[in-house]
This record gives sequence, structure tokens and C-alpha cells, in this order.
Amino acid sequence: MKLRWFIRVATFIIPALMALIALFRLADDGLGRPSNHVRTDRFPAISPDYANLVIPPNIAPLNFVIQEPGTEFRVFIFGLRGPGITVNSRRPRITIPLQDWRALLEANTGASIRVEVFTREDGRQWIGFKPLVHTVANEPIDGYLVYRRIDPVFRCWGNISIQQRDLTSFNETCLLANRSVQYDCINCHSFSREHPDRMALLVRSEAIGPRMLLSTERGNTAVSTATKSNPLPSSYHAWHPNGRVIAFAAMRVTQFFHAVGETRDVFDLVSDLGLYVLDSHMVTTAPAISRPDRLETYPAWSPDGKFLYFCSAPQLPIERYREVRYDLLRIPYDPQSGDWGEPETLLSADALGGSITHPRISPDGRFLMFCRCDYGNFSIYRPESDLYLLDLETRATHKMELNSDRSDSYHTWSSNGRWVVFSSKRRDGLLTHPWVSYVDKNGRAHKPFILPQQDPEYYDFSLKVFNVPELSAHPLHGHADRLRDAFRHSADPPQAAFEPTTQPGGSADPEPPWHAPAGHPQ
Amino acid sequence: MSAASNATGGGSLRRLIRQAVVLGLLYLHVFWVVDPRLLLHSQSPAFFAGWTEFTESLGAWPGGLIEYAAAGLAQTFAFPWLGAAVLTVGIGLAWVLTERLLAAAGASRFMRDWAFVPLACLLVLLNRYTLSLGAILSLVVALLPALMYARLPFRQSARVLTAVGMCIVVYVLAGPVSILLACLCGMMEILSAFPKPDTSRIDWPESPPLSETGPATAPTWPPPGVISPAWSIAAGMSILLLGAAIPYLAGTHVYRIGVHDTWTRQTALEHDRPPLIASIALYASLPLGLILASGLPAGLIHRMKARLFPNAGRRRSDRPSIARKKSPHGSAQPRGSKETSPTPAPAFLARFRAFLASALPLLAGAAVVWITVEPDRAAVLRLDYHVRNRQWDAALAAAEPLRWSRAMLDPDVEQRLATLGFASRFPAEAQTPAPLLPSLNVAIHNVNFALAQQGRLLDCMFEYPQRMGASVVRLLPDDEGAYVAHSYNFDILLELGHVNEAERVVCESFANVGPRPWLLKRLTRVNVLTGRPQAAHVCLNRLARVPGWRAWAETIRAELNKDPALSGRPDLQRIRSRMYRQDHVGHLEGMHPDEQMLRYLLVANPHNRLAFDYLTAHYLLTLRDDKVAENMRYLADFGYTHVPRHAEESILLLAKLTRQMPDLRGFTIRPETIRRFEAFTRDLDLLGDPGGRDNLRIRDALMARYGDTYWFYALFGHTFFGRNAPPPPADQGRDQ
Repeated sequence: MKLRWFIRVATFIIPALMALIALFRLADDGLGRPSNHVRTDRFPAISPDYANLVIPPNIAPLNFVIQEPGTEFRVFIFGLRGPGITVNSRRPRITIPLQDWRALLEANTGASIRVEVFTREDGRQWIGFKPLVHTVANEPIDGYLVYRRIDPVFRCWGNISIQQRDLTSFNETCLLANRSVQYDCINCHSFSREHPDRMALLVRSEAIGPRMLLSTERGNTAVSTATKSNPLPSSYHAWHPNGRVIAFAAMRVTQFFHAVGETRDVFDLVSDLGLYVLDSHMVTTAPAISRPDRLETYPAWSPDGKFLYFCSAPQLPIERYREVRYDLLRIPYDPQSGDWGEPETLLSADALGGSITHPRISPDGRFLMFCRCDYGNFSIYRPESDLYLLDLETRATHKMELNSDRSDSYHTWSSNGRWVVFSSKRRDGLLTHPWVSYVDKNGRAHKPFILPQQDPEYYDFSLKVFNVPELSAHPLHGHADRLRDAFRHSADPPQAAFEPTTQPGGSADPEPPWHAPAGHPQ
Repeated sequence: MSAASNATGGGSLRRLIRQAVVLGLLYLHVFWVVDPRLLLHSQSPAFFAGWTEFTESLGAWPGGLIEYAAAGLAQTFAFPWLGAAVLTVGIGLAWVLTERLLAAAGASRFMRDWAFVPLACLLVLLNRYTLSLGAILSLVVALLPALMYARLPFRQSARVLTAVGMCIVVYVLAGPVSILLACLCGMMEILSAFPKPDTSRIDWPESPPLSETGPATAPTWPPPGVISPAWSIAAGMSILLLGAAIPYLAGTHVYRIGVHDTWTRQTALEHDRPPLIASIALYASLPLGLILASGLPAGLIHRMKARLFPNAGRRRSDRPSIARKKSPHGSAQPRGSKETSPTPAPAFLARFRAFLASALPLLAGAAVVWITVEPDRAAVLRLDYHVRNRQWDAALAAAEPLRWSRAMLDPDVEQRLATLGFASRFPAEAQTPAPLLPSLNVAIHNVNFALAQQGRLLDCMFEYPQRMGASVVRLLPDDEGAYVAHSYNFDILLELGHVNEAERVVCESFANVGPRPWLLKRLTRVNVLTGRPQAAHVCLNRLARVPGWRAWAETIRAELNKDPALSGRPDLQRIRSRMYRQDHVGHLEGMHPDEQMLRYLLVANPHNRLAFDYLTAHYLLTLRDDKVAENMRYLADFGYTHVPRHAEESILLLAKLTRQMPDLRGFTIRPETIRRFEAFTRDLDLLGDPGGRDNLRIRDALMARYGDTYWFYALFGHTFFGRNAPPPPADQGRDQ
């Protein structure tokens, strides 16, 4: 009797329960938040760390991996305006559809979007984590980032390529790979921001020596900037805003190695600044930027082209490498006449308590971002390297909020001055990756994020280094073939002529300003 | 079943048996002589499983697909029996396809044995460990469409288009070997323009009767209904030109690679510089085979002979021909001959000749392959394999041939093994399975490292080849001609405790030869030791995608998640205890001199026995007897209970030179060493001044008895034989 009663009840209850479950399932159509989930009061663990950022309205989707246990994953991304995006996955890799992402960011520019992460295990209840909130900035980032991709480098190299990444998607274009230039070392790529059809880079060729590969609308050449007065190759190119002059550092670099701590270190035995004038195919310099007793390096033009900023340190023997600390200087320059003014020290190494390198001025001319490290000029090899901001109006300096306990270095401004991309080793201490940060009008940097990749696990598997990031508002597609052509026809490159410039006072310099320090034959 | 089909079946069976014998011998040769593990060790192709890697490999290089597939298949070389099977299948396919191609081009049975030429070339290259599986597979991929092309019944214009299309596909899949395909197709077209000469009067080596070998394959080339000769020649030339243009255009404009890669990537010539005769012959033999198969050269010779010696020609024409007799089953005769033998030779003779004709090419090929085996190279490679895998006993067993060899005396051997095989194309070889062929210097370093790991360096190092002027710790890239030499320094530097220097070495090797699994493993260790577990994770993630390394990578990854320092691992803890405590800036070129570095390491850890042994070995190699004697005061600190043999020898020499025995702090020189030294000095006095003009005579006389001593090294700058060396030559007594 009891058994019969039990069977009757069971036949009732079991279908009723199943129907209830089906109803819940129907209600949860796989879109938006799961209908029945429990909330936790913590943010989800995700990689890369894309939590609570300020992001450009035109950035590619921030794909990520959920580092929470689960067999089913759901991410719901939504804003105040526009339709939300739901990503369901049985794997923790979350790949956000590009078009939907773009539409969402466009609709919510100047507002915020939320990223809600849900996980569950084997059909159990969904767990919802605290939403991640991204602020979508009004100002877009420049559309393209050009960087050099290479293995972790010490003294030699294998494959090197200059890549251009479309920041609004995941497209990457190879501008030049060294396999097409006989595996020579290619570096110091630079382009004129105002004239994107002008690009220069240095190739250190075993066959033809160091050459500046120059691609302009007027032709492609491999220029030898070595003159009798200075046979050293030109590095760290900086295009004048008028696009007709390239400032460069001509230096002899040596690498040495430590037994404890960061292995690599770099020392400049000789370093002077010079200018290459495209129209007249002339190399020139001035005594103030090529002093025999100083090491001048890292030239950078002010946006109006009236000042050349650079770093300068006393020339000491290599045994005293820890004492070599660079000051920040600038010198007025008249692009019409080519006249130089008096150099001015903006910030001394002593005042800052460290060496100053990589000055870069924001496009509005207000801020100057630079690296500070304990000594020397190769900040990427200095774990203590941090980024600082100098307000050129108030001359106030502050350590930026985007720094980490590992090397933060080489940086580039977006053309609207609101975004910076910089190199950082914060992820693992060995590999350099590009990080993006928003800098507001007061010079305050917001939480940086690593350059997004289509494969969210990309950085977990890649052993490549991304260095010398340079933002560009325009694509540089045309340069790939042109630079290669320039190299191919570089066996007998045009030799730049040398012309010493006038002293600030107007008198001609009787001696060529290039020099070799005692004990270091050129 | 008819008699004909019986005969055909018998011929097929015989052919199958012959093929099976050849493949069996091939397998045994690869398994026993070559040893696929050594191939994998020397080439270590980077293979990472995954869709991204697969798609990237497709577009990165011409022949990317075959390169990726070959790298994957090469992982089977870790199991010699399986690796030998894979290589046998690859090489066997190339052989069989060549044979079929020649048959399709109308080659006689004798001429089909020409297929042994490329087979022998492949094995000769394999003996040198320079042949990659990718080159074998790409050859197969080129031969397959060539065979298809030979059977195409199309019109000429369609054939040209087909050939060009196939060349493009082969270029994308297999790389510049498409030039070979174009060459074969073009040759077939051109040769079809010439009528087949009547070669029935030529003295071909006798082939087995058709009844025994089965019916001759009817030549499928030229196809029926062929067109005018001029058209054929034009078509052939077009294919040749277009076939050469495709790699050039694609290489420079699509893949944007250098000239060398454009023409040689994924071929046997890629890593073979200067190219061996074998690698050139490999590719030249195939079109040459087609020319020979066409009968044109034979016909030409026949005509010339007939013109020069008309009477001889007539007499020869009168001679009966056994091979050309008409088949009783009415099979088609080769070369269209209608002659029959009026007096056929006895059957056993015919069979014997048939056997000879069949076996001779095989025997000739086998002889060539056997002659080109390089046991000294294999020994050096095997030693390297065991040292890299930290199998010290096996390493020293592998070094045994070196111990007794006169390799260092043989300029040929020394020249062949002088530099690393990788040296020639730095850095263009980066990230390709370029073979790393260790040099004699590598072998010396490997032996020393194995001895040091067993605590026998100072007792036995002169039993093996040593060379004066060589660094005891590292191979200098400048000596070896390639930065890859660095990778050999890594294990020693890390074990000594110079982790930063080891990091530099491994990163530079990484930049040069790409993410090879053994480098990733080492990079993992360095990153753990330098406190960068996240970077170690990246290496492990990569390594986990290599099939043979997945288990190891996942084990370490799990351990790393629990303990980022891996402090439970004794090998890492041992290295940690030896690491520098205080910074020292290296030499500008990045290297501390050995002595300075070893002394710094001993300051960092006064119980670093490896550093002590290497420092003393350094003093021995640089003839610093005074420093060796000085070091004896520390012997007890490093657990020594007696003075090591070579140190004893050094001290006795010092005592003789200075006439004063140094203070050994309680240690003594063993009587047998003293007796041996007395005998040595006595013999030396008898032989005269070793610095004189008759140095070689004295060296050879002393070699057998004292070649394993420090004294011999100090006199002549190198060592040769061990204590149990073979007896001295008969005239040695006279010398003494």
C-alpha cells in the first residue's frame, strides 16, 4: 500500500520537478545574465588583468581567460546604451566578437561598460562575480602601433621584424623582416608623425655596414650618415615636425654583464647628437649637442619644432659606469635658418636622484615623459626604471601611477596626448610587452593594460619581446617594399656630406665637433 | 591460371622480395648505424602542436607544411625503432617513386636500377646527420606529381599548365624542391621530341628474361598521339623556365626571403655548405636518370661506335643477344627488337646473370653507403647526446673510441670535425632544424664535464683528448665560428653556479636557433633560479606543446604553482648554493676569464667542488704547476682523500724543475706515480730533447706509455692514448 502511494507521488513529483527545471532552462536563453545565479563579493580572476580600466573607444576587444574553476563560462558585457554582448563558452578562454564590441564601445563612448563573469561546474548553479567596470574614454588612441618583435636579446639576434599592429582589430602587418635584408639587425624605426609617408630605420649590415634606410615620398635610399668627422652609425632617430630634418645620436655602444641581478647592461663609450637634413643630404651638428666631455643622446623634438630635447651625461671611463647619470636638457633650434640657441638644463640627474632617459613630449607640448633609473641610459635593462612626468608649464615632476616594480620604459604618446603606450617587463621580468595607459589632462595616468591579442593566452606562450613601440595615426603599409628596395640598392649608398654649424654666438666652429674620447679609438 | 600470369606473379613476387630486402637493410642501417636519436638530437626540429603553430607554419616559409609535418614526425626519432621505420618509409618512398618514374619514362629494367643512385645519396647524407626529414619528404612530394605527370594523357598546352600548377602547389607545400619537379616535367617534354633510338644492338647488361621478371611496364611516356618535336621542346623549355621563375618570384615577392632560402629551403642543400657531392648528385641524378632512360645517350654512343668502328659494329650485330630473345608468352620486347637468340645460353647462366644484374647495383650502393659512414662523427654526437641528457656513464662509454683514437693526429678528421656544423649560416639558420654537428672541441668539453660530474676530472682528463690553449670551461664562439657554441657552455656555467652567465648563453642560443625544446628546458631552470617564475611558466607552456616534453613540462608547472622557487628540487638547490652573492661586472665582451670566474665562484661558495676541479684543471691545461701545488692545501675541504693523479704528475714535474717538493699539507704522492715519473724521465733522457727537430719520433715513442699523463700533455700540447694502449710499434725498442 505504502509502495503504491509512493509510486503515485513519485510519478507526480518527478515530472513536476523536471518541468520546473525545463522552465528555468527556458527562462535562461543563454543571453545576458544567467537567470539563477549566486553573487560573490569579489572580482573574478582573469588574465590578462583587464579589470576596471579606462579604455579607448576604438580599442580591439579585450579577450581574456577566466582563471576560476568551472566547466561552463559566461561573460555578459553591456553598457547604458546599445545591445549587450554575451559570450558563452565551455572553455575559460573568452573571445569577444569584434563587431559587437565596436558597436558597444561606440555607443558608450564617454560612459562606462560592465563586464560580468559567470562560471558554473557540471550543471550546478551559476556563480556571478563582482562586475568589472571599464570607462570608455572620449579620446581614441592612434590606430596603429609599430614595434620591433625579437627574441630576448643579449649580444646577438636571430629573427627580427618591424610589425604594425592595427589597434582597432588584431591585424598585424610586417613592415620589414630581417630575413629579407640578409638577417641583419634592424632597429630604431621612426616615422614623421605629421608626414606618415616618411620613415627611417637603422640597419646594421654585415655586408654594407650600418645604414639609415630612408623611405620618403621622394624615394627610398640607404643613407650613410658616417662622415670623416664621425664614422659612427645614427641611432635613435627623431623626425622634426617639418619632416625635413632627422635628429639622431651617433654613439659607440658596448654591452657588459653582471653576475648578480639583471644580467645585461649597456654603456655608451661615445655619444653625440647630429642632424641629417633630407633636402640637402647633409649631416650637421652643433658644439652644444656634441661636447667632447659629455655623452648626448635620445633626441626628441618639441611639437612646434623649436626645441630639441636630449639627455646628457659626463663622459667617464666604463669602470665608473654607476656614476654616469644623464641630465635632461633642451636647446632652441630655428628650422628655417638652422641656428641653435643656448642649451638649458630642465632637470638634473642630481635633483631627481637618478638618470634621465627617453624624453618624449606630449603633442600639446605640456608634458614631458621620461624614464628614471639609477644610472646609465638603457632603462629597459634596469629593473628600477620608472616613468616620470614633467609638467613643462610648472616644471613639476612626478612619478607616474602606471609604474610597476619591474622595468617600465620606452614610451610613445598618442597624437591627441591622452594615451601612452610604454614597454614594461612587469609580467614576468624577462619579456618586454606594450602596455596602454590613459593620461588625463592633469597628467594623471590610469591603470595600464597590456596590448590585447586575439588569443587571450598569447602572452602565456609567446617568448617574443616587443620593443620600441611607436604610435601612429596612419598606417605605414607602403614602407615595407620601399625599405627593402632601399636596402637592395644600398651597396653604394649616398654619402652624406658633413657641415659644421655655427656656434650660438655666430662664429664658425674651427674644429669639427665630433670627437673620440681618449682611450676609445673610433 | 595461365603461364603468363604465373610468370608475372613470379616476377612481381621477386620484385617485392627485392624491395623488401632493400627496405629491410635500409631499416637496419638507420636503426643500428645512424641511430635516429642522434638525428633528433642534432637537428631537434622545433615542433609545437596546435592550430596556431600549424597555420603559422603554412604561411611563414615556402614548404612550411612539409616542414611542420616533418618536425612532427621527427619526434618519433626519440624511439629508435619507430624513427627508423619513419625514415625507412620516407627514403623507401623516394626510391620506389624514382624507380616508377624511370619505368614510366620507358627505362629498361637495368636502367631502373638507376634509382639506387638517389637512394645511396640520401643515405650518404644521412650518415653525416645533415639530412633532415623535411628534405626527404619534400623530395617525395616532388616525385609524386612527376610520376603523375608522366602518365597524363593531355595535350601539350594542357600539360604545360598542369606542370606549372603542380610546381606552384609543390612550392607552397614543399618549397624549392618544385624546381626539381619542373626539371623532371620539362625533361620529359623535351626528351619526347626525340625518337627513341634502336638500342637493341647495344650491349646492355643482361636483364632477367621477361618471363621471370614480369612484363615490362609499357612506357607511359611519351603519351600516345604526341605532337611535333618542336612543340615538345618549346613546352619543355617553358616548364623549365617557369619552374625556375616560380620560386624566385614567390620567394622574393610573396614570402620575402633571402636568395639562399629561395632556392634551397627544405632541400638537402639547405644545411650542406659547401655542398657535398651527394647532395648535388641527389637532385642531379633524377633528371639524368630520365635522360638515360630515354636511351638517347646509349643510342648516341652506339652511333658513334658504329661510325668509328664499322666492322666491329657489324660483328657485334651478328652476336646473339640473350636478353633480347622473344618471350615465349608473346610479351612485348623492349626497344622493339625482333632478334631472337639462335643459341640461348643455359638457364642457370641466364639466372646467374640476372641475379648479378639485380644484385650489383644494390651491392654497389651498399658499398658506397658503408664507406661513407663516419664513426668518429657518430661517436662525438653520441657523447654529446648523453652529456646533454646528463647520462655520465653512457657519455664516457660513448667517448671510449675518442680515448683510443688517433683522431687528433689525423688532419682529415680534425678538419672535418673542426667546427660545429651549424657554423656556416648564422643567423640565417635561425629556427630551422639545422643540424648541430658537434666538433672535437665540443667532445673535449663534454668529456671533461662528464668526468667532473663523476669527480674524476683531475684523475682521468688526460686519458682523453685535451688541447693546449683551449678554455676548460667554455667553448668560445670565436673558436667555433658560431654563437651556437654558447649552448655548450650553458650546462657547465649553470652547474658551476654562474647563473647570470648561463642566462646570457641560453638567451643568445635561443635567439639563434629558436625555441628548441632543450633550450626551453634550460631557460625554465634559469628563470626559476633568477626568481622569475612567470617567465618559467611561459617556457613550460611552450614546452607542453611538444609531444615528447609535455609530461615533464606539466610536472614542473604543477610544482611551480605550489613553490615558485622549486626549492624541493635538489639540482636547483645545489646550483643555488653555488651562485654569486656579490655582483661582478664581466669583461666587456661578456665573459670573465676562466680563472677569475672560478675564483669568484669559490669565494661565493668555498665548498664548490666543481669550481675547484675546473680551476685546477685550468691550471693543468695552462701548465701552472705552481698554482696546482698551491691548490693542494684545499684538497681536504672538497672531500679528497688523496692527491688526484694529474695533480700528482704536475707536482712531481714542479718538484723536478724547482728541485723542491711543495708542501702537500699531509697528502702524499703515491709510489706508483713516482715510479712512473722516474721511468718517464729516464725514457725522455734516452730519447733526447723533445723540443728538438726529431720531436715527432720522440712523441710517438712516448705516446703508448705516457700519452695519458700530464707530462706528455705538457711536452706536446695534447694527449692521445690511455694506460691500456696497444703495444708500441716494433721499432720503439730501438728508439729507446
